[in-house]
Amino acid sequence: MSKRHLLALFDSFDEAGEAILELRKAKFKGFNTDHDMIIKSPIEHPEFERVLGPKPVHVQWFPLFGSLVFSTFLFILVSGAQANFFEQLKGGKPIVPIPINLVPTYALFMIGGVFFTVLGLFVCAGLPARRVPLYTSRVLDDQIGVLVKADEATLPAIKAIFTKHKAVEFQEEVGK
Amino acid sequence: MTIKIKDDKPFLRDTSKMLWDGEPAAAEVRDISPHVSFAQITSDVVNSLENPRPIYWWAIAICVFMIGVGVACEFYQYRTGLGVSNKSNTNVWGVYIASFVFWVGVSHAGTLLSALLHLTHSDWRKSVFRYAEAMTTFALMTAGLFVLVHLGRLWQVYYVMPYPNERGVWSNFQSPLVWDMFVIGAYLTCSSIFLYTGMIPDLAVFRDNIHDGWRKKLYTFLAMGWQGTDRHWRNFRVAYLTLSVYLIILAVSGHSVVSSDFAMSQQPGFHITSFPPYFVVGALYSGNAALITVFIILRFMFRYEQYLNMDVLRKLVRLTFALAMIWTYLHLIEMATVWYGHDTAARDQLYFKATGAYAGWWWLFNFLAIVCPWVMAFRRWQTNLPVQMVLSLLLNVGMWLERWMIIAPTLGHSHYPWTFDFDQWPSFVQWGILFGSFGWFSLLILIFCKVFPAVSMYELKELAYARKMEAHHAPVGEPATKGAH
Repeated sequence: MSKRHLLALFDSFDEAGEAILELRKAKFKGFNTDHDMIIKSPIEHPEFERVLGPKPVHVQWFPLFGSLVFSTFLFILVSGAQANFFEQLKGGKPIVPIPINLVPTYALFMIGGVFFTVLGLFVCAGLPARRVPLYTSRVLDDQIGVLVKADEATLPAIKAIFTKHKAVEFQEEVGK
Repeated sequence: MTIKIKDDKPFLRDTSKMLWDGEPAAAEVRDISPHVSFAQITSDVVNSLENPRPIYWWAIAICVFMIGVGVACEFYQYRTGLGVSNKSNTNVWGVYIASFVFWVGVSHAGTLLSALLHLTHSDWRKSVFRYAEAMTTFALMTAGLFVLVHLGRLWQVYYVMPYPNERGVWSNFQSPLVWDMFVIGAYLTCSSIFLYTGMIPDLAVFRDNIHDGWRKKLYTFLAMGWQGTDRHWRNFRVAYLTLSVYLIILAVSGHSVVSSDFAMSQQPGFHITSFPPYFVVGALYSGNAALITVFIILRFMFRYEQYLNMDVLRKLVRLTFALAMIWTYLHLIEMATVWYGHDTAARDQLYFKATGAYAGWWWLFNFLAIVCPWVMAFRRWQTNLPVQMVLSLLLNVGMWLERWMIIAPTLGHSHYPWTFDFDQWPSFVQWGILFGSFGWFSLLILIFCKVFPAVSMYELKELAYARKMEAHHAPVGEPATKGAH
């Protein structure tokens, strides 16, 4: 059976949250709330995480990797430059002064971390993103949107749940 | 105590529905009114871009004039040689490096407000941090210009880069000046990324609310397809938190390295252990004073009275006063260390500052930076806009003089009498370029605020939502605005 999108708009976070909870409990056939439902809101709303269930975030591993790679690269670059440049008078000081080299190494540690944090955000959040069907700018303004993708036969039941929880507007994909 | 919860139906559009009979307006409005709706925040910020007060265009014209003066002076110096700046063999840094340190300092307040106060969950920062972040980026760009101007030979700027020159000679990685390039470069890069990343949700709102023209294309490109999904927000929160941590460390280390330009040398007056914290706190102090100046200007120019309100100003002023007192303590420590120390050259240097050729400027800076902030201690003056405008400007004059007083008297009164140069006075070229730098910085800020959201819409919405919830769940009989910061 073909699947279609339905977007319900809510004025209240609480109502939207309750609607999502009820959807999760309903367990419609062919409808998985983890994959077939997207919440859109104008602000970050951590309470949604409770109703959506735990979803891992992996962004934090990116800066760790970036920091280590960039700082290692810089340390090797600087130390290599010093080790191959004997014309510079050292006056008895070490050719490769490790504590001093840690200063530029540290700077690249930071740059690498920041670059890869943003990269991590883009990768994990799926940015740049194409617009999903049934987009409305109101979800970035002052409404909460719950976008579901379900079988045509299931959509009326889902819509009933949304209506019960005071959805103020619906947008539906036109059937083929 | 009985806590009575009222009707628990939050509304986003019509806030009057969620407020019970006795409105929380009875209490003083805190950082944002709980009556502000999300739609109003969007509309206020989008409209402010379209219709700034006419004085905005006058300000742009003044900035362009100031930049013109600076560019003319730089062009004259470039064509004629660095000698026209009236520097000497001993006094080689002058206004340029003092201004470099000053602008790096101004950049620090943005990081303090956006990153540090973000980690400590200080909600009042939400209306001011965006333009503070922009100040960070633009102040660093301005600071970078002074390095170029100071070089004189602009075409040899690549000497400071980690790149071998035409003779195969690498830069000296043991020099604090090279560290400067690394750390300030990193700070500029990271603060720009931080500014952009934090703006993505707001750029998406602009994308959806502006319907044509080059700005629509710009916002569409920069918003990266942001749609406010739970996946977007979840990852955004962690990424922004991570960036905040990086930025705080970078800000502290950035000015510590700048202080190393001085403290790592053997110059009496520079070789002081307490310089790194002294520089960092001084940077936060002058940066916060600059934030107050820009706060008052933007509030009027872009009609942000509702968001850049008196309560936020009061907190900003209190924070500045606290920083002024910490800085004063460190300043006195620095002088006491020298005075009671065994380095006679350093003690002579201090004596020279207080009684020598620059004594007037030295005492003026002490007055402006130590005595004047006490006006901020009085509650009645904390939200007086004309007073705070004048005061914040005076504090920054004081803090600029502080940087100049670190450099000019010190270089002109070194270990050896043959290096003494008491009569060094910057020529009009140096002053003209300094004048131009203020125009450059102000122009960048004004353009930024006209093109991008100078206040963060999504954070204001979060704040408004939190205040509504507080008002909603406030115990009966207690002011709704009392609570967590």
